[in-house]
Amino acid sequence: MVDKRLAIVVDTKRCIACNSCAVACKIENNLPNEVWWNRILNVGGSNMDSPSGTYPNLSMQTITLSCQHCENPACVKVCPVGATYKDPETGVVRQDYDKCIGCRMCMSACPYTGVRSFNWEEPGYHVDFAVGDADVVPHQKHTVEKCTMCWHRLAKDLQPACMEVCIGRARFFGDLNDPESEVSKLIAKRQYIQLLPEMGTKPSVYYLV
Amino acid sequence: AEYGTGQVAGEGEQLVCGVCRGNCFGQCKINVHVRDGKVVKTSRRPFNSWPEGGAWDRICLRGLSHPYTVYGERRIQYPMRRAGERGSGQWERITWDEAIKEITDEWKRIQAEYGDQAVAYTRGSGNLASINGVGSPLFNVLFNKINATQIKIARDQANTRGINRVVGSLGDWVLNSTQDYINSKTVFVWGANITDAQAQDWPHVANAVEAGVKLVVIDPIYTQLASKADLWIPIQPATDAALTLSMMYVMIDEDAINKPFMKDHTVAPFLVRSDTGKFLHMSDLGVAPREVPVEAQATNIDAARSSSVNYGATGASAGAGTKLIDPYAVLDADGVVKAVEDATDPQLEGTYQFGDVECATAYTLLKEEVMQYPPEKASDICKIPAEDIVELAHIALDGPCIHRLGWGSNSYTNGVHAAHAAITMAALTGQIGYSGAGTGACNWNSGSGTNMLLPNMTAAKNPLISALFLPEIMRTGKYMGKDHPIKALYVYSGNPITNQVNTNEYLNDILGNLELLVTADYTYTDTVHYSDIVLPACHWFEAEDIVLLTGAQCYEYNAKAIDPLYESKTDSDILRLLAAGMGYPDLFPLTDEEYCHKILDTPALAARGISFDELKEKEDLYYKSTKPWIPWAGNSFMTPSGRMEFYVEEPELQFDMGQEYDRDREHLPRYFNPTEAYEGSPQWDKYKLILLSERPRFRVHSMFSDNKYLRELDPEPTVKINPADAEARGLADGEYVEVYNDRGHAVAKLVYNDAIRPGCMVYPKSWQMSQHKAGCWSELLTSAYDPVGVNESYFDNLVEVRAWKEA
Amino acid sequence: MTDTSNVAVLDDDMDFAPAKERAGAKAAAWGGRGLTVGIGVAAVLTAIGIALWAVQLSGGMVQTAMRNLDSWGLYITMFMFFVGLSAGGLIISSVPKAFGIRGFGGISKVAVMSSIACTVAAIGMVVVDLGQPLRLWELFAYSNLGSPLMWDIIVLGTYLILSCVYLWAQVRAEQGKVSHTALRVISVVALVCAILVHSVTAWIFGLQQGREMWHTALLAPWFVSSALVCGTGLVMCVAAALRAAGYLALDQANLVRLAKLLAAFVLVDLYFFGCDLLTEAFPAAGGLAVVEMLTAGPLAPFFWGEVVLCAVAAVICLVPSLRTTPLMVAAGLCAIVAILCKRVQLLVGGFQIANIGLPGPVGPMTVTGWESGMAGAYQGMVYWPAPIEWGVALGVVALAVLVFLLGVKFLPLRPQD
Ligand SMILES: Nc1nc2c(c(=O)[nH]1)N[C@H]1C(S)=C(S)[C@@H](COP(=O)(O)OP(=O)(O)OC[C@H]3O[C@@H](n4cnc5c(=O)[nH]c(N)nc54)[C@H](O)[C@@H]3O)O[C@H]1N2
Ligand SMILES: Nc1nc2c(c(=O)[nH]1)N[C@H]1C(S)=C(S)[C@@H](COP(=O)(O)OP(=O)(O)OC[C@H]3O[C@@H](n4cnc5c(=O)[nH]c(N)nc54)[C@H](O)[C@@H]3O)O[C@H]1N2
Ligand code: SF4
Ligand code: SF4
Ligand code: SF4
Ligand code: SF4
Ligand code: SF4
Ligand SMILES: [Mo]
Repeated sequence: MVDKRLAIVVDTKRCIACNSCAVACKIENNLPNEVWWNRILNVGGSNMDSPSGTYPNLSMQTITLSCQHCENPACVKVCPVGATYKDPETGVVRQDYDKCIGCRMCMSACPYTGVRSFNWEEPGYHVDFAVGDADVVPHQKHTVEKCTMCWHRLAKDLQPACMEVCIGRARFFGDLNDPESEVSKLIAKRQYIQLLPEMGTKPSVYYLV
Repeated sequence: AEYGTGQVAGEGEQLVCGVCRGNCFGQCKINVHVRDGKVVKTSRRPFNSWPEGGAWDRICLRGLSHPYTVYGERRIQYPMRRAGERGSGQWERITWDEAIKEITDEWKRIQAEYGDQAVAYTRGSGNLASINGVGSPLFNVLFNKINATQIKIARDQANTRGINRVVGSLGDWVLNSTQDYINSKTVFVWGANITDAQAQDWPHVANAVEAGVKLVVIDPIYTQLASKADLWIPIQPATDAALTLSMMYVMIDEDAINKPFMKDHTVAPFLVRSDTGKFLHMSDLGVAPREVPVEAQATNIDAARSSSVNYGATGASAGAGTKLIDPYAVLDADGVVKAVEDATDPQLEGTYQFGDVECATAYTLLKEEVMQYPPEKASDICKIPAEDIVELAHIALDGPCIHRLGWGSNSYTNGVHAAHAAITMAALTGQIGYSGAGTGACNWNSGSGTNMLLPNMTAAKNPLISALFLPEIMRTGKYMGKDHPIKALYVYSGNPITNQVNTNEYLNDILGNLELLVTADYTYTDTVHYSDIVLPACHWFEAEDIVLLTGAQCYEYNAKAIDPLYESKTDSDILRLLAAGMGYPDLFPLTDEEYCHKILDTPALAARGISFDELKEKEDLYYKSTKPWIPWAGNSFMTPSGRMEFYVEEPELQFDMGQEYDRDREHLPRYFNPTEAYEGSPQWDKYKLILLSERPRFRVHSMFSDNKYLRELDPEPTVKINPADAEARGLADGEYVEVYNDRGHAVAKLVYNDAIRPGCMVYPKSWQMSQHKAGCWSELLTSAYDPVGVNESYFDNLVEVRAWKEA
Repeated sequence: MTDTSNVAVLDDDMDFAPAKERAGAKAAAWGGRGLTVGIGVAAVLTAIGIALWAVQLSGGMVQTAMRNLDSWGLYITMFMFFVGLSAGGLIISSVPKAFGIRGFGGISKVAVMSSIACTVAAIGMVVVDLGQPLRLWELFAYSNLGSPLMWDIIVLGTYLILSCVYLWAQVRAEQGKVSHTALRVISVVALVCAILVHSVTAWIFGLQQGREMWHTALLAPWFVSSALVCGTGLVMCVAAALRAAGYLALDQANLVRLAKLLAAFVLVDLYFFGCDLLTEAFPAAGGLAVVEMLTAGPLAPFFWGEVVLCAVAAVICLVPSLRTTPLMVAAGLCAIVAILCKRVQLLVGGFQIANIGLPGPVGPMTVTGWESGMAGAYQGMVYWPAPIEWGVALGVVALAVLVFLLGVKFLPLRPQD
């Protein structure tokens, strides 16, 4: 069997910075307070939804940023105990909370600012029971976590939660090693950018422009 | 394996069919995931009526955040009585029995003392459902029974008024389904912030754009939508009518108007009498009207066609009978005035001397108005280049085009005319009533054939009163010159103190003259804060309900997912208790489920295979006649003439309290200044910034304002400003500022944003007062209204801004 | 510049006369009340540090100023710094033995002791930085040998052990139990290890492609040179202090030779610094931002601090008339502080420029000064330690001092007279 390379394609022409994918991720994964694995960033001005340029000559774009599940992940190489590792069958970069010693090597190694987060305190939650999917691995204090590509959903043959909810129908998910997949076709057909390609991490997230 | 979409229930988990149904026009069908009796998650649930996915099954960030809404800290848990001063936030827990007794005793006392009308009830748009929400006739059953006064929120009506007075009413917000946009050549979006405020429509717009449809966005603000547009027209606020008139100028000037359409489907050739302002009829010329039989009108009335109706008041049926036909007179090609049906080639232009009364065709009168707006002049008014106006006219001529009007121009006191102008332009181009062509607000209206005349429904004795009249009534105790004191107010599914204009007036004049304010809500709002008695209502997932006015144009079924939390009760149960307290224990003889049957099991719906049982099984049932729905197909308009009456004979007032208005002005679309939001207005000396609001993606009005998931993303009130305006005032990005005018103030964090038109400020709306460091946005808003539209004009305000020093 | 190249082949502080061995052993139990007080104070501070560490672990590292976007702070800064400091002693002590050149007069063992103390501090700093110190054992169970942190842990551990062995060997050699040749071998291994330690520590940063500022091949040699600068500075200060305290006698000439060495190291270090700045800035790409941030941005005080302090140290050490004991000690201190400034620049600087600094939602866990948004957080230094970090770090330093003072008190580190 050919190994997969699961990838996310985001069509920035359809993305409206609605933050639904971020909230879906938050709830689905029962993320602790103030933890966001997927964040919506604004390309242009210095604040959310602020464009570049001077009124009325303006332009604006949105980037949703989560772990890029790099083919050549900087984080995996530096982890002293293999708590972050790449799943060989899917290419998903995974995280083992039980192993993590909290050294945060991976955080400084990852070039994609803020995709990794450390639980700086005992995880707190806004409601007093676990929300989201029951199969989500419990979060731990003083360990690093990040987008799991919704591993628990992949296990049920479902797409990640953020794909499922995208209001703009701007997110696509699939196997880049399969030329027939929607993602493969999209990046063959459309112009795209990747974030920080010069870092050599070969991210598995593509942004159609 | 391929990874599919969808949701699966985990071990011990149940997926219940729910409907998210605040007033964001979405009414998305969602899965409510219940584990151990708790709502642990919500997710999107596909519409069965749109197997091809055309409804864009959806859920947004707010819909996803419900676990907090249900279990949040500010959930109201039990009935409360005010313990300290009003608004002091001191409460005493009471039992349901005490609460109901106290409320109904007070109501009885007040009614005895001031008259039945002195008890009033009002709602916002917090729950679009038809048993426990604002689409529910049950409230009318109780309140009509006790002859209470219904106060109607005065919002979202200017564009409706401007359009419906030309084409008639198929509902308040009528336009081709968004699914049809892909069939147009260009979609014009006039002041609708689709990407934030109707995000559920965005994928359809995006599909259209992807398929090559041009997107033109007319908005003073560079919204997300504007950033996706082929053409963004950064218009000066409150000047849409001038732009539209000028586009019509170009069309007429270039002789590019659709004359056959105008002759056949508009009142263009009708002669208008200069003395009465009315159309000349053949009876004026001595031809006697004909009598024709008419069929009986159905007694069913549509569910929540407009945001607020009193089902009892409008429920009377029109019996069978006859009506008089008096043909309209037109000028035929041969110069003879004839009945329109008899004319071979009715003339669009021309005058006719009828005795000593001068008559001119409606089009002649329109043209006179339009020709005042050559692009150069409109350019000065709208602050956009004249060439752009010409280009817009050309694009609009090259149809089919969709013109979607949002609540931008609707939010000034000249808003009725902006919409009137837009629909008049459709009369000139003929682009209406077919695929890809239409002009209107978004398509958000219900189906027909439901039955709202529930058992024990009586007609309302008192007139529906606009909330905008309320301050005056409360100050004087009079309505239309007669005594009409109001002393008790019952609020459900609404948060008027946060959302209604001019908060200080609301607090002083309305609240100050109320003896009892009762609010039923599930969360602690500003209105709750100022109430005398608070009743804990259920969250949507805690009761079975039906939703009949939805963004997907389906009747939707909401199953009960969990039991009511704490001591909360459904609104219908609260009504039952109140009815008993008022001495009518048998007023509601049916269960909620039986009411659902009553509403949906009508012959009209049965003929289309719709019933409550069917709905329960299928969860959603499409209620439009065609898919996608194209209003005005066949060009039969619901006006007296059956044509587009861009010349309005007799302007109807949204609400009549005897207010004065300029009848002549209302005949045709015109451009005039709004009340305050223009350079040179009476407030201009003191205040130079127009204050606009934005529908926040992080809230639906004040709903979700206390949702902590969303607050992590959007923690506090902000106000956006163009850096140039900020720098001119020495204000830094991120500092706290006080925005103020004569009416009040609000403190928020300043956000530099080049998307904001210089001369304007924009705030994401509906933070609760307690979330502001001081003041609140609605304090700043004018309660002035256009006498015809009687609509809250949220953007018609001038303000200034200065640094805020915490006291 | 210096005269180390033509010094006679002679060991500095070793006298292989067995007769003196007992006396030497006796000399170990040195020190009066001052030392005891010092040990007491260090012990108390260490205990406080441990208590604070417990607070940090139980209450959460949220009490530190570190956050997701500035995920390392004072601890790792001090880790780098102490690794550097540890170098000095060992190198000063081992170079003469390894290359058979003249030493610096009786300070060899004390210098190694200071190395050991600094290594303890360095390791301590890493440990207090860990979120899950109880999982340290995993390092051995699940070692990812590809991780520079793993290398560093191995090298540091080896280095600590080697330093101890080396110290032990010197003592034993004095007792005649270890041959001169064996000592020389050990010193060579220790020297290699010292160089490795600095290189590997540098690689923790330098191999990270994600941070423009760290990602430079020069980082390893530069770490070595910086280590030599502060290490030498430290040895100078310690030597002068011990002499003043009467612990050992030290020829002024030896101090002067150390000073000359320091000057050489400072100049080499500045040279590397210059090379790096030029390489960063020249393409006028991302690196230029780094240079601007250093020279004119929030880290400018540390940048200029380093440059000025290095210059001062070099001038003192190079101008013969300035080589008075107080000034030389000052030069040593300048060198130490300069390298501390360098460490701050390196660590905070690595986080000061976000690769993706786009505005978006920020919260209390995103970045230290989150209240004013992304732009605001980067206005000044993106990170500044919180009180608890100062406390815990001070505890670790105190532990090192404690180790050192205990060594001074109980080990035969004094040169035989
Ligand atoms: N500044 C400014 N103000 C505006 C506008 C603007 O553009 N700018 N827009 C205006 C417009 S267009 C509108 S439509 C209004 C909306 O104004 P409102 O209709 O007042 O809006 P909400 O804040 O959604 O208030 C709904 C309330 O109903 C409660 N609720 C929800 N479901 C139920 C239920 O089942 N039972 C009961 N009892 N309560 C329930 C919710 O908790 C919430 O408190 O705001 C207006 N205000
Ligand atoms: N998330 C969310 N969605 C909502 C709501 C919510 O509170 N939150 N509220 C819902 C309700 S009840 C309503 S009524 C709708 C309203 O939804 P919209 O129609 O989108 O109304 P607004 O956002 O008030 O204004 C629309 C746009 O008009 C622009 N505008 C302002 N002045 C002018 C003008 O003079 N001319 C033109 N052309 N444009 C102008 C504004 O910049 C804004 O982008 O949204 C609904 N959707
Ligand atoms: S984005 Fe960062 S965390 Fe994710 S795989 Fe790449 S390097 Fe690792
Ligand atoms: S913090 Fe955890 S996952 Fe990251 S490098 Fe250290 S041990 Fe590995
Ligand atoms: S794939 Fe899952 S974990 Fe990753 S961002 Fe999307 S929702 Fe979050
Ligand atoms: S849900 Fe889709 S449209 Fe919304 S922010 Fe995420 S990617 Fe963009
Ligand atoms: S808030 Fe509106 S758009 Fe969002 S899920 Fe609910 S109904 Fe749908
Ligand atoms: Mo509205």
